[in-house]
Amino acid sequence: MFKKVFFTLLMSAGCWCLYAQNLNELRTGASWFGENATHPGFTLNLEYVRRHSTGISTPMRADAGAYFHPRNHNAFMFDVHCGLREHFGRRFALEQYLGLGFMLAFYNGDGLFQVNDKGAVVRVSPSGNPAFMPSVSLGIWIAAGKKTDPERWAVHLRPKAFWQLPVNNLALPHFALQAGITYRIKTLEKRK
Amino acid sequence: MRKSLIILLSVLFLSACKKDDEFLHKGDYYFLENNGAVMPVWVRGNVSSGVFLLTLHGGPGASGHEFVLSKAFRALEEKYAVVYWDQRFAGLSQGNPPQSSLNIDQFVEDTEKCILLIRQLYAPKSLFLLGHSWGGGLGTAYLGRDDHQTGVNGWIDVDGSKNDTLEMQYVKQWVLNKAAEKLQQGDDPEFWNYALEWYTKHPKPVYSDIEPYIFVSAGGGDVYDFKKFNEINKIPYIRLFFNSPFSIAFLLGKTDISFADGINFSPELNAIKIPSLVLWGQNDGILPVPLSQWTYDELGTDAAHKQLYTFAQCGHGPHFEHPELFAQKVSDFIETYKTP
Repeated sequence: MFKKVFFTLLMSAGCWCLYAQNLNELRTGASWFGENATHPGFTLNLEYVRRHSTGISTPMRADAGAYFHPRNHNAFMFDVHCGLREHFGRRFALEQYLGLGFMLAFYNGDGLFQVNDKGAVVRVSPSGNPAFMPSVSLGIWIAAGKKTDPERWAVHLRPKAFWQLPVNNLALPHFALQAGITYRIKTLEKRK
Repeated sequence: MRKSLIILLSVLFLSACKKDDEFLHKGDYYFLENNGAVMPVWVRGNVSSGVFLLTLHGGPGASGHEFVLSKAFRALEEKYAVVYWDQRFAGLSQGNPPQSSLNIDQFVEDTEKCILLIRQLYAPKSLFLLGHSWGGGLGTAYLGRDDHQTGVNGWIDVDGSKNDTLEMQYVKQWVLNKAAEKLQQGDDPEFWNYALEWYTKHPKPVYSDIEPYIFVSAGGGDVYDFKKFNEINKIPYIRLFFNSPFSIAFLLGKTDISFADGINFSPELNAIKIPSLVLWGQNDGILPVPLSQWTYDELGTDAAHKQLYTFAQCGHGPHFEHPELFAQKVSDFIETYKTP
């Protein structure tokens, strides 16, 4: 488990450094994270955006959050995404992301039981199942700020496919819908 | 824009919090962990009756959750507690069990532990086992070994699989007959000639050969009347996707069924002495109907306490194709043999 956590953090740090060279915007936000759209969850987002032109930017986003699929599992997750945002006009953009992360899943039900060597049924506390979490997401991004600074606030809607790996020795696919809002907290000088 | 977002988030949140959805709130939903597998055990229905019916699903690798969608089991839930259990590597089971745990002894052990769980949590007055298809084999293997029949009131075998070699020969005969019929009618001669050719090349097929199931399915041996089947069984796909324990895992094939190649539970079948009910679809091509009589004959139960009933115009799933009659037959059997 610790190897997986370490590997994920290392990858995240690598991506972060790569992007940190050309940041020109730092944003933070929060999203609804609905596994299958309706199983409730949330993420907190931190986003570095490198603006290449008026039409193209490349966001790098870190999400931390949780979701709850009743009678199936609960998951706590952390993942980073590298993406492309294509702007159409001043307020509208389409996005696509590749992500890699880590999740810790717990069973969601009325109890987890084992039968011990003596044949007695015992209720046990789940320790959580670590898993990799690669993902692909598409998105609609809309600048929602005032006319003078439309991109200070933005809303997004992102359908996401992610995989929980391993479950039953397979990569188990999941779908999710992320809908939320981000706020620009800092504009950074572009390095040459 | 912000208003739209707030409305969207509110709708999502409210739909997620909806409390009346039976898939999320009806019954008790436990997980049983054994040798790497974490298997859901869903207890629904009339728990206060003290009569419990444990279902063993087919496959290997299908799901006990599909029984929940059958009108037959919903009718049985009115009178009894029904236990839906997903076996390892199947349905909505989780965990990361080792591939080496795909063996009969492990499945029998899992069954034993599931029964221990039910006994400890509910102390049922009466316990019945019902196995469909592969579950019929698993139930036979379980009951026919050690002293597992103790405390079990009765066994219900629904189109159950117990002898690979014998069954695959019956399937072969069913397909050959169907191919002859179809060729005579001029119905897709290319496909049915391929089926005949396949059997010429594979005279001794085994469980894990996929082709016989394709031939049977094409010949209507799994479902007798698809139109009627769909009318009877309206699956609430949207609710299952958005508001239920179901996930994509339900649709994924996770089991390498070759571990079941060559199984022969005849000795265990002979060893079963408890009251038994054998139910079968007369048009089943996956496990053709002559196997019902073979099962009945090989059961060790005294003739006074075993019954055989075959459903007319019915393929491999009588609980889906004739739910009312199925529930009636099972209920009659339970009423006869439950602990007073």
